[in-house]
Amino acid sequence: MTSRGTRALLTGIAVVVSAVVSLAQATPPAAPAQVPRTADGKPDFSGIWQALNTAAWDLQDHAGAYASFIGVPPGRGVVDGNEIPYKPEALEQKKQNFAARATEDPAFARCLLPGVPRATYMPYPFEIIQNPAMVGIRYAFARAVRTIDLSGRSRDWLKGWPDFWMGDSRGRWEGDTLVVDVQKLDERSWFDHAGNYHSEELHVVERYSFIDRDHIRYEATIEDPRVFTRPWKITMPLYRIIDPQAEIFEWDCRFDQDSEKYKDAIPK
Amino acid sequence: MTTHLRVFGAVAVAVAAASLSLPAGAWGQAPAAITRLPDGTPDIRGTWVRVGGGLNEANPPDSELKAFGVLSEPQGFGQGPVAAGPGGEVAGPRVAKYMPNPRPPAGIVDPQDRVLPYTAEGRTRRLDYAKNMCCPAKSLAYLELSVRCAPPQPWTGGGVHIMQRPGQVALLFEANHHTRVFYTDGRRHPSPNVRFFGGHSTGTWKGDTLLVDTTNLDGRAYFGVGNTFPPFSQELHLTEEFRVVSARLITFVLTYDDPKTFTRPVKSAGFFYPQNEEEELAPEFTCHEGSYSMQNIFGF
Repeated sequence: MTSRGTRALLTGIAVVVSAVVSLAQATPPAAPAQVPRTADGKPDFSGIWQALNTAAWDLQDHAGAYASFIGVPPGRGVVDGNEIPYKPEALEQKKQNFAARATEDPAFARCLLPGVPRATYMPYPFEIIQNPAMVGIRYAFARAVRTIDLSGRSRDWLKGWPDFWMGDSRGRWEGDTLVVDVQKLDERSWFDHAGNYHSEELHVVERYSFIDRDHIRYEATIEDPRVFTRPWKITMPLYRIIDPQAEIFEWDCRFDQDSEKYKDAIPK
Repeated sequence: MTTHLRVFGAVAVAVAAASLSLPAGAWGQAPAAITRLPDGTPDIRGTWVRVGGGLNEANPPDSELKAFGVLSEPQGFGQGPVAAGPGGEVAGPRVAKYMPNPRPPAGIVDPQDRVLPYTAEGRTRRLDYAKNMCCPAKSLAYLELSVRCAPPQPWTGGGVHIMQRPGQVALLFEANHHTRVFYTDGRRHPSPNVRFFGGHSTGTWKGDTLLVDTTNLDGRAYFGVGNTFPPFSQELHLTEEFRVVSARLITFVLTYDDPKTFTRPVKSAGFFYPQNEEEELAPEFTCHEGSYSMQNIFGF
C-alpha cells in the first residue's frame, strides 16, 4: 500500500474510532428504540457480553510488558482523566503490588475471584440473565457469579458478616439505566494486574445502559476514602457475543492450578 | 475473613436443611396456580430450596466398606438449636413456610431398598478408593474432591435462584457459586472430549415438565455415594424430569445411568419449594478463597 493510501486508511480508522468513542461517551436519556426489553418494559441486558480492552492488566494507559506467563498487552486506559487519585501512603502499596504482580495478582496469578468491577473487564465473556426482581451474572473466569437484587430490600441483615469477594449488589432503575450499588467487597481483590487496589471501605456504583442492542455503556464509580483522595470513574463499552451457540463453560482455574501444583506431591 | 465463608454458607444451607426435619402439618397450603411466561411455559423464576436427588445409599450389613468407616445412612441435621449469624448466635428452629405437606419423596426411589447395584468394576473402583483415601490419602487422585474445592455437581442441593429467559433455564445455587444452565434452544452437547464437574445440560419442555439431559460429566464425584468416593465413570449420563406441580412445588426424578458402575439405572427423587420470601440467600459462599486445605495436606 502506498504511504498516501496508508494515511488515508489510518485517517479513516481514526474517524471511526473517534465516532465510536463519542458514541460510547454520550449518555443517552433513554435507550435506543431497538433495544430488547422485558415484559415489564425494562431494557433487557440478558445475553453474553465481553469487554474488549486491556483494563484487566492495567486500568491506566500502559505499554506492553512481560510480567507473567501471559505478558501485558499495551492499551489505552479506561479511567476518566487517566489518573487514579491515590493517597500518598496508599500509592506506595500500589507500587509494591506492581512489583509482585507476577505471583500476587489474586486473579491472573492465583485464580481467585476477580471482584467488582474487575470481573466485568476480565478478558473473558460473561452472561447476564435478567429476571424482574433479580439480575444474575455468570462470569467465565473462576466460575464467578453475582446476583443483583432489584427488589429494594434492605441489606442490613448482612451487617457483621464477613466481606464477599464479589460483594453484595443491589440494583435499581434510573430510567433505562441499571444502577448497581456494590458494597461489602473483600479487600484482597485487585482492580487490575498492575496492582491497583482498594480497602474494605470500597464502594462501587455501576451503571449499565444500552448504546444500541449489541453494546452496553458500562461505568463504575469507585470510592474508597482510605485509599483514594476522591471518587474516580472508569468507562468502557461492553460488546454482545452474537454467536447464538456461545455459552459460558465451567472453568475452575484454581482447581486446575492446584491439580498441576500437587500432581506428584505426597500428602503428609 | 473469607476463611469463614464456607462456614457461614454452610450455616445458611444448614438452616434451610434443618427445617426438613420439622414436623409437617403446620404450614400446608392450597396448591397455587402455575403462572406462565409469554411462550406458555411455566414461570418458575424465584428463589427455591432444592431437596433430594442424591444417592444416599444403604450399605448391606456385610459391606466391605464398613471396615473403612464409610457412612451407611444419611446423617441429616438434628432438630435442636442451630448456630446462625456471624456471632454464632443460637437461633430456634426455622420454619420453612412453603415446605410441601405431605413431603414428596427425596432420595433413592429405585432400587427401593437403596442398595446400589454395583458392577464388579464399580465395586472394585469404590473399594480401592475407600482403602486409599484416608489418612493420609495415597495421592492427589485419592483426595476427596470437596477438600480440593472442586466445582459442584448436578445433584448439589440447597438454596437456589431459578432464572429463565428464552432458550434457557438457569439455576444459580448459593453453595460454592455453583450454576447449572439447561439450554432449551435445541443446541447439541459439546464434544465428549470436553468434561465438566457440572456436566452439560440441555432441556425440553413437555407441557409442565422440563426434561433435562446431562452429559460430559467429569466422572469424579463431589460428595460421592455414601459420602466416600467418586464411583462414577465418564459414561455417567443423567436424565432429570422436573415437574412443575404448582407455583410452590417442583418435583423431580433424577436417573443415574452409568453401565460401567451400575448394572442398571438408579433413580433418586427430590423437590424444590420456595424460600421464605422475607429471607435472602447469602450473596456468596466461596471455597478456594478461604481454603488452606491443600497447603495443610501437602505441607506447601
